[in-house]
Amino acid sequence: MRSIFTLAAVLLAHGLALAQCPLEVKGSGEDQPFRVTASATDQVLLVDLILDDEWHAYARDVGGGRPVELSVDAGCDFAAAGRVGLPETEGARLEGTVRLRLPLERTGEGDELRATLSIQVCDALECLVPMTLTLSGEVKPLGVLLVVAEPGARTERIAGWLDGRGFAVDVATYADVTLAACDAHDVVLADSNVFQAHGVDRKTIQRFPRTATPVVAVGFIGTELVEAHGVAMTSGYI
Amino acid sequence: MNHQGHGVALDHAIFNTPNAVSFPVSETKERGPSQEGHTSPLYPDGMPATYGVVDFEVDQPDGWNPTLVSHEGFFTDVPGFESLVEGQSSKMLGSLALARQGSYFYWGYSIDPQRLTDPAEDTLENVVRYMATKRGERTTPYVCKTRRSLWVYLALNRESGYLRGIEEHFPGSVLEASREDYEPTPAGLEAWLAENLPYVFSGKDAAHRGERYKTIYEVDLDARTLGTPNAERASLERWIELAASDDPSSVERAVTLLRRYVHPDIAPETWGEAPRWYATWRDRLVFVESAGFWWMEDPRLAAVPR
Repeated sequence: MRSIFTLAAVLLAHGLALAQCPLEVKGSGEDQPFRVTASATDQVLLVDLILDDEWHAYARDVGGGRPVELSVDAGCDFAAAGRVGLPETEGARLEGTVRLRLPLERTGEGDELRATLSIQVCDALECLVPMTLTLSGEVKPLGVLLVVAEPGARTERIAGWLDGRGFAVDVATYADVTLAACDAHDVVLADSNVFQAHGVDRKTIQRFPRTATPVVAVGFIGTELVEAHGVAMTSGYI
Repeated sequence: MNHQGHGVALDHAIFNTPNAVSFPVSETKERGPSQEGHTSPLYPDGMPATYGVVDFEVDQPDGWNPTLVSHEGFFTDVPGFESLVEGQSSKMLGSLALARQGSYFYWGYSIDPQRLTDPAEDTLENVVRYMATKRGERTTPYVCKTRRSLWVYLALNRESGYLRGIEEHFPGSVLEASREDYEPTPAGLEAWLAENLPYVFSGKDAAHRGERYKTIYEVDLDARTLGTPNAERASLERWIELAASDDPSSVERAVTLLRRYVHPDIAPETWGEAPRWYATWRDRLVFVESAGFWWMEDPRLAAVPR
C-alpha cells in the first residue's frame, strides 16, 4: 500500500492510468496487407488484426494457409490462462478487423509481457510467407484509489486485501481526495462503514470529485456519493 | 438490509471473470408479503414461494447495510442499468444490494475482508476489474423520481395498511390541478392511477420541484386527451404524424407534446419536418423518466454531433 503522502509521486508515474496497456509490435515489416495492434491488462491480451480488402487469414487449419497462432513467451511475468478466443467465421476465414483474446495470469513479480503471433495471410491467388511477430511491453496492475473516512486498521485490511489480489493501491481520505487523484487511477473504491458509523459528514461526501474514473461506491457513503453525482439508481428510498 | 442477498445474476461477468464465483445457498426463505405479487429485473416472472439467500458477509452487521429501494424496478428504463443482487430485507422486491449504472457500481455490503465471505471476496475482485472497463461510460442524468413512486403508496397500503402515503404524501407530490377529483382513500388512489398514471410527468420546470417531496408530478392533459401515454413509442409516432398534418389544432397540440418530451439536445429547430427528424433519430431514442421524462439519445450509443 502506498500512503496518501506519496500520492503525488505515484500519480506522476501512472500518468492517466488506463486499464489497457499498449504493446509494441515488431516483425511485420512494411507494405504488408495487414496491420497488428496489441494491448493487455493483467487479465487478457488483446490483438487486433486489420486485414486489407481481399486479404484473409485462417482461424484454424482448413487446408489453406497456416492458421493464426498466439502464445505467451516463456520467461516473462505472464502465462496464458486459457485458449485464444477467435470469431467464428465461415470456412474459418478471418477478414477485415479481427480481435484475438488470450486470457492471462500473472506468474512473475514484474510487469513484462512477451508474446508471439504467427500469421500467414492469403488472397485469392497466393499466400504470403508465414510471419512471426513479437508483442511486448509492460503490463501494470490495475490502479485502485481506496478512499476512506480515516486511515486505520480497517483501511490496512482493505488495502492489504487489494494488494494481495494484484491491484496497485493508493489511499486517500474523503476529506482530502482530489479529482486529479481519482482520474489518475483505473478504479476508485469509495469505502463506508455501516449506518451511523461511517464517520463522514454529508457535505464532505457531496464534494466528492466528479471523476471520469469508474467508482465502486460502498454502503451508506456510497449511496450519498452516487446521489450527489446525479445517478438515478439512488432515487429510491434507502 | 442484512448481510445476505438473493436473486444473484450469476451469469454476469462480476460472478465469472476472472474468478468463477459459486455462492452456496445458506438459507431457504419463504416469500414475504413485500415480495408477493410483484416482479423485478431479477425476478421477471415474480418470486417463487421459497427462495435461497446467500451470504456476502459472515454474519449480521453491527448496524444496517443500505439497500436501494427500487420498488419493482424504478430504474429499468435507464439504458444499460444492471441490477445484479437484491438485498435481504423487508423492503419490496427489486431493492438493490449490487447494481451498476454508467461508471458507478453500488456495493451495499462491507468491503472489509474480515467481514466478507470467500465468494464475496472473489466477487469484489471481479467488480473492481469489471468496472475498470467502464471508464467514460455514459448514462442518463438523474432529474426526478419515476412515476412508480405514486403507485408505491397503493402497494404499501395493500401490504401493510399504510395510509399516510395516500392521505399525505400523494397530495404533497402531485400538482393540485392534477388531483382535483382525487379521493384520499385506497380506492381513490387506485382509480386515480388507472386514469392518470400513463400520462404523469415531471422534471420540466420549477413547478415540478418541491421543498419536501423534491419531485412534483403533473398529469399531461394533452397526452391524455389524445390517449397517448407519454412513454410509449406509438405515442411519439402519433405526435410526429399529427405535427405533419393539415389540422392546425392537431399540429399545435402535437408540437406542444413533442417540445415537452423530446430532449432539447436532439430536437430540431422547428417541428415542421417532424417525420424527417424522426427518420434520422428513430433507432437512437429512449424514453427515460428519471432523466426528466424525455425521449433522448440512448447514452450507450456514440453521441451524434449536433
